[in-house]
Amino acid sequence: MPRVPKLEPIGLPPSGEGVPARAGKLQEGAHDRELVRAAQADDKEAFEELVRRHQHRVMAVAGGILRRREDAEEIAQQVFLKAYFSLKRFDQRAAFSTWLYKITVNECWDMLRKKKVRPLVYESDLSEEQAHQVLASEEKGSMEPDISERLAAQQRVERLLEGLDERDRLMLILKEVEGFAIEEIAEVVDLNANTVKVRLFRARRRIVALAKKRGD
Amino acid sequence: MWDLLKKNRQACSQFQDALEAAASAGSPAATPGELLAALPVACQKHAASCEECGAAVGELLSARALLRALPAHSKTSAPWFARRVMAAIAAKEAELRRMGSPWAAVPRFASRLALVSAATLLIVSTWVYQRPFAPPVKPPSAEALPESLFDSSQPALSQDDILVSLAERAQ
Repeated sequence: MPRVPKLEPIGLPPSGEGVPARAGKLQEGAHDRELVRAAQADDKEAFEELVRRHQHRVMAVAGGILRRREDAEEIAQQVFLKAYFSLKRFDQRAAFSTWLYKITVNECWDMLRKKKVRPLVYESDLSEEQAHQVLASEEKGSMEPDISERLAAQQRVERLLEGLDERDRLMLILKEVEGFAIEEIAEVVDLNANTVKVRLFRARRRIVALAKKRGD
Repeated sequence: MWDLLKKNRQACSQFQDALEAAASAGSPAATPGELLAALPVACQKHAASCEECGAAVGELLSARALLRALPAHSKTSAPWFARRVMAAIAAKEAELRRMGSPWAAVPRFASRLALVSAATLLIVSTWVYQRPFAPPVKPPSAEALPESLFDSSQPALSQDDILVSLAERAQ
């Protein structure tokens, strides 16, 4: 079987939403279709390439919902495992990325249901990486920017985000933190682009109002 | 009245599009003034007349500044992630292959097999223990044997008897 040529992993979304960006997206979609076809014919390298191309996006969506890196990584792995074992049933009517986002969102809600917790990071709930950062900053002394201040700021924002609707929170994180384009967010949350735009505006207004109210 | 409202909504929607595009542009604006200056003139005029849209510029920048505190998960995904996924797939495939073999059923039913064996052993041993005692059967003695139809009352002739009887007959 001919090997599919390796492609560069997708970087973060282009800043503009112009014609070149859309053309690039179409090209990426075509590459994805090729890779999916090869993976459906049991080409593991093609599937690995698909993982490389989409891992950042899947991690971003999972992280946007779960808010913990460890959980996001675990879910991302499960998503790709699920995708691999049901790839033969994927008929490519939708884009591969859309299909992958749907699996990701469902897996995340399942995880939250099982854990029965709200996706909020508390002080006592530092991730392994954050704990390492804290220790490293303590060892380095006061030369580095204060990590505990950064973590406190992060927790403050996480609390503010709790005041938003779950979907609005995800949209806001994907847009402002992960750098997704409006169309991509629309794919993830299964809404049309105009609705996403309007809801983003409202979400921004709400989070700023909450911050003012709490004096942040 | 309705037309005026519809026209306003359209203008707001156009303003939102323009604002989103300007905010996503390469060099991010630091102040509302800078961001407004990057918008088309029509949008700037609309921002001056529409209170909500005018406030949206500042809100966008404030929200962005707040959310800067959060880490981006898309940038922190590990470089070995794809390898790990492929290894997990290989492990899962191996597990599925093992599940397909007939011996795979043995460990699955092991606990039930042990239970069934224990129950059988208990029942059999109980039956053996409680069975009424039967005296050992003695081998039948020669006298006690019933007479057969073919048995003759005469004792069996020996070779000497035969010879004697032949001699008597000759006499």
